[in-house]
Amino acid sequence: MSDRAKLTFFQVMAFVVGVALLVLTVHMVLRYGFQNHALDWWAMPHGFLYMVYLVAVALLGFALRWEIGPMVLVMLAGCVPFLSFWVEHRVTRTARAQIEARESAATGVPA
Amino acid sequence: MLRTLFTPRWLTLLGVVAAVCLSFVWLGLWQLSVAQHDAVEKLQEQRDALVEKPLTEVLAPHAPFPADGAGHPVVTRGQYDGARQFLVPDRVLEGRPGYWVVTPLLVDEGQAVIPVLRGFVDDPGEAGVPPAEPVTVRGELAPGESPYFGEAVLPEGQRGTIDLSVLANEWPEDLYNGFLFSTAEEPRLTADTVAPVPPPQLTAGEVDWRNLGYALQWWVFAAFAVFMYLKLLHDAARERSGSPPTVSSTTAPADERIEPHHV
Repeated sequence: MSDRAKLTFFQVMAFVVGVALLVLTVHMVLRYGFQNHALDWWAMPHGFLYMVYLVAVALLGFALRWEIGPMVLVMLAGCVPFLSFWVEHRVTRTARAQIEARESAATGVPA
Repeated sequence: MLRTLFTPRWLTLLGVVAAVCLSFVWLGLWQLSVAQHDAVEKLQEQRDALVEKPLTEVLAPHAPFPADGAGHPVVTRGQYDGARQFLVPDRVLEGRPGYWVVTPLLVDEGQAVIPVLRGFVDDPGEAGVPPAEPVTVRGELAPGESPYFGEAVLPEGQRGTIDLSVLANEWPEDLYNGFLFSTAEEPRLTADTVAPVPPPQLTAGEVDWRNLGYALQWWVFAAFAVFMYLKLLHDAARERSGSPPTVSSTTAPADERIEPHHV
């Protein structure tokens, strides 16, 4: 898996988990606000999607040699509604720059 | 790797990971207990919703035991047949070993029969035999027990379990596919030496699979934290010892050379 593929995987998972978390929020509001259990089934798939997200972050983070702190923060961002979209945007920007810098270093062409 | 581990940074992180793991494992266990609690509560609610019914409305002779029949409160009227009473050894009540006293109750004008668990005795001699007079018995229904597989040859008048398939062959009347945990008799025919046996308590046999899944998820997260720590520690140790860093930076340039820039 190339670094670019890892970045794409991360982007996809960040979006999926972001949406999944919004659905989970709706579920929480329904369940604890209105005693409506219509979305009870969602919590389980959300948990598994979040696990895949963690794997995606770890893959990208290890590839780009992130520090532990930022990596954990990106992972935790998947638990805060809406935050994951913004974090995904920022991470993608810096990761892309990192990958390009690396590519130009490898090919000898200045960035 | 050990030299890297024994630096303040990695020891602190180890503490953090350990704390995270402990709390995740605990959260998983908590989730599991919630699962069991929920399952019991659900059963309890279902059971509380049951109203006492005449036996014949819940179960008919020879009919299969209904799925929601266990613990259903029922009332019936008939006559005990003391001659066919039997004891079930190796039973326990409040921690003391003893015998269940089971007496067939002839119902439906003697056409049908249902075993009634009248109570518990410490000593076979205390069981007594109830007189054959009309009696109203209230209790909770229970499905029959598994066959007796014990090695011991039981004394006369004892059976290893309340095995309805055996009773069905021996008793000529139509047998109900279940027995009764007697809770009240009118008039009271059972002697005071026979202690009442409370109907079975609900146990969390079936766990809500969904909550079990949540518990598993917490444990997977804990394992993931451990994996992350080990991987990062491993990388850091390699860097320290001066060997080339891991996979990506050594392999990535190779395949990126093939891939053109497309951003």
